[in-house]
Amino acid sequence: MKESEIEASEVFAITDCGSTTTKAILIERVDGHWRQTYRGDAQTTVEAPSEDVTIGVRAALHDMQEACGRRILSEDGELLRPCRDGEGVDAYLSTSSAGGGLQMLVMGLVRRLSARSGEAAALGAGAIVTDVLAYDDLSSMAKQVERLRQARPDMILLVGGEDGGAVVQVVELAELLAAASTRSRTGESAPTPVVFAGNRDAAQAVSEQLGEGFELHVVKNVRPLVELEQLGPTREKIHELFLEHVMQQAPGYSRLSAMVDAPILPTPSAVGNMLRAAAKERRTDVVCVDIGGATTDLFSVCADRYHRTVSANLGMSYSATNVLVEAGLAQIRRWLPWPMDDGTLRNAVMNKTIRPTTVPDTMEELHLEQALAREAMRLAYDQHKRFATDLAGRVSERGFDSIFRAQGERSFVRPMDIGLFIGSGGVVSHAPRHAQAALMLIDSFEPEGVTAMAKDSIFMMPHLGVLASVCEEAALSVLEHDCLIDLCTCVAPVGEVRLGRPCLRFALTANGATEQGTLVWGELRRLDLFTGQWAELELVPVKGVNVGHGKGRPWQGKVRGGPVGLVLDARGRPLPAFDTPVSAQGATRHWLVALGAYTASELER
Amino acid sequence: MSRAAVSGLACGRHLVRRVRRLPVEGEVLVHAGELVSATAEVARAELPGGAESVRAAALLRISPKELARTMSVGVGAQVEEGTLLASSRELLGLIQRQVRSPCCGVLEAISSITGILRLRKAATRVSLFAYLPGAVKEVIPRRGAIIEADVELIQGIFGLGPEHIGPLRWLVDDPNSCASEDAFDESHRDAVIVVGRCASAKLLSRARELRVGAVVAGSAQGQSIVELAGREINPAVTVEEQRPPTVVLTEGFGEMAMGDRVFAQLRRLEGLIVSVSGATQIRAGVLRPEIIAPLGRDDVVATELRQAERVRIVRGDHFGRTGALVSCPAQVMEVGSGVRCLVFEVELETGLRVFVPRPNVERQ
Repeated sequence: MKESEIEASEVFAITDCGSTTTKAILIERVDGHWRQTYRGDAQTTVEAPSEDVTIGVRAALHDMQEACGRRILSEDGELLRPCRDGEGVDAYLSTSSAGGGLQMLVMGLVRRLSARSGEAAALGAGAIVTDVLAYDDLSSMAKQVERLRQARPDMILLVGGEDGGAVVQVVELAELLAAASTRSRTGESAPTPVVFAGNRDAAQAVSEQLGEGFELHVVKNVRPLVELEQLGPTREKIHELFLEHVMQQAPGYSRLSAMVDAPILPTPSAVGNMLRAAAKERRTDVVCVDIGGATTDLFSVCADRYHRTVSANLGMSYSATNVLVEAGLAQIRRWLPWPMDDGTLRNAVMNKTIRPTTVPDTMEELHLEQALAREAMRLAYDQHKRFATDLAGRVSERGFDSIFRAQGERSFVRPMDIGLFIGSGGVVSHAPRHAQAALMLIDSFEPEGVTAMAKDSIFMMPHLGVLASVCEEAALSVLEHDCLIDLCTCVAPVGEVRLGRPCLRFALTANGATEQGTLVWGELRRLDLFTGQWAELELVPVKGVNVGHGKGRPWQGKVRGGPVGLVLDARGRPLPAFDTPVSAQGATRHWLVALGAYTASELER
Repeated sequence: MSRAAVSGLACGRHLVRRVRRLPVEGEVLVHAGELVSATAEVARAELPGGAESVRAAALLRISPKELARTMSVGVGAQVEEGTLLASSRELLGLIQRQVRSPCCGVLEAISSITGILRLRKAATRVSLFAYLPGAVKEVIPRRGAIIEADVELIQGIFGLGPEHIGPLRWLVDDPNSCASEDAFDESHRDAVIVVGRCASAKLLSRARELRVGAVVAGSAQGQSIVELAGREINPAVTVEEQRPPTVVLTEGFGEMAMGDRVFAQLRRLEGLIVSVSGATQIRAGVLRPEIIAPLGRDDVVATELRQAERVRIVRGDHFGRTGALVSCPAQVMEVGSGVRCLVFEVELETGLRVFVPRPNVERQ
């Protein structure tokens, strides 16, 4: 399909092939406005016995066809294109993270410099970075060779050395790869793709060193100077190789590639596209979490800089047991309103892992899933904050307009500056009540100051990301109208106040009526402020407490409502730790009821 | 009634194909059409040894370019541990430096850029057995073969441990009983033992002690599996857990009786030599643990449930219970957790009719 034809399209069918589920949505122009109208889903079918992703795609499209009550597919399961007389679609697009997504190994000279830039480039291209090897912390060459022998990445990124700088050490890294004969995940016989984005003077020697077992692609240096970072060319090459090699190896992807009207995007890459658009639209720092079955992705646009991290071992099904191991039983249990012994908790989580597609059928199971989600998101966010830091004296060009200088290594993700948190992924998007989703996000991210909390209504950020690649206007319109659901605005004062003592006075004015009051330390309260409603909020914190403009300084501004209204969260940051499981359960029960996630009677057993 | 696909583990007669593939190129010892036993060697290969790198130029305090002229052995030479690889002299021979081989192997490369010597250790022989008693359907040149057989295939939901071939034996008489660790004795060495409802940590430990080949149970406590593995594991991927005994769970973690159908099928295999694998991988090429015994041919399992078909519930208040499928409502419904999803209506054995999320139902 020609580019101009795609741009002129008025009805798009879009699928996202996830690890577990393939989700289809229909986006069309209705009365002159772009809207998401119907959806459908089906199990992803990259695994045996089907081993063809297009089977799941057609099933999801079929499900969507049943929902909208008009023909989209022909009798033999082919998409009807273009749309005629209300039947069929004009264009079909897709994203994918099925089959484990794009897995990459990064090798660099200095962990804090080139290796870090390499990792950022790989993550920015939508990859899961399975390992980072840096020359400056290689303990034993024999151990590293063994580590590389065991690795089975889809692709390797080799970086290091300024242009015109170190050659020998870069070639040594290539030598390690050659010694290990690292093979790609997709096959023993095919050469392993290696992207070299290091010192251009070392490219020839690296090529000679690697030999026939590798397919070398040389691109511009990610760190041509210590103080200059350029990630774009590497990202583009990774993306290109992903489409050419990795996707083609996955079961049924050659058929899927033939179905789509624009290149398939890796799911995280598509989500990143949409987050940038959301940050631009709302004019604030934005953080988004996408919690999936196998991984939890964090995206942020903070101080105009885009970062993405993938916590490859944190997720709600395949990786549920990893969350349990990493967080610990006690950390999971603190979010449960009822007691649960170690054995029962462990068994439940391990059963979810081996039957990843099951859904919680009882309240108890739902509480446990939401508890796991809190810990997975908390751990992933901690990793993200540690990663999203700058190095002293570095100049960066990461695809944004600004070129900046930072003064030291510190996280760009500063909670007080973040104006919007977006949660996506089944456990958040499909939470039965908005208040459950809101409290999960607040507990996990501990927002500070005044922050809007939203969720991706049916997890369509990936779909909109790939749509933006061909029709940005449609993607932005649907993002605001159908994708993001504003859950609430959260006000979280930060400081040190004795429990039960007043920490701020508030006045919320909407539709001419003002609600005033005093918030005490330790309290979690919800005020009504309806969806789409704007209100004037005035906050006067006590001395030593900050709500956004500094300690003791008042805050005034407009806030947006949502189904959970305005949340006043004076529980403190970090959230309080409790001495015993009983006291933690009591607090959790209290918080769940305060926010309307559950009624008190629902929590009685 | 609406149609709906359902997941389910194999339990019955199947035409099974298993790809037996060497990790590297090697020699295939069978030909297409040949009948093989489960223990027959089908292919073998020499697995290249690990590499050892020696920073020779740095140790000799010379430039990488000078390394070649200091070498005592050339590329391709077989060396023993301690063999002199290179040496240099300074101050008219008063200071002599030597680099000796840290291992036995072959000198593979001398780098004039990095000054590193690469040694390749001796290769290890890997042998691939057929695993299934059947016919060689296809030979994969230099890699292995595809073995095909009409078998009784019983898949578990979770397992760990290596492939094993041994006689199937029983320690219990009904699916709800649990064998105790005291029931094991020396005669169970290398056997595949069905232990009933639950495999306790003590039982698994005793099985290892007595070198039992494999343990098949309805369930086990998650903690017992962690103790057997000796570390925390992710049950989604156990392919790398290769320490015996092999464990196959048919229901999951906790305390659950073995499903009646699985129990009955296993019962029929008593005394037969079976092939067992504990490898579990929930994503990226799903692998479930399995027990395979030679038998006749049958049709491929249908993936769609039909009215009155027997099903089993695998989550929630009715976890482990079985019943008959009554209907597949087309509309989403709210279940006990408040989640809205597509459901099946199932009539339990007690006559009670319940609505269960579709992903939580398996064919029995």
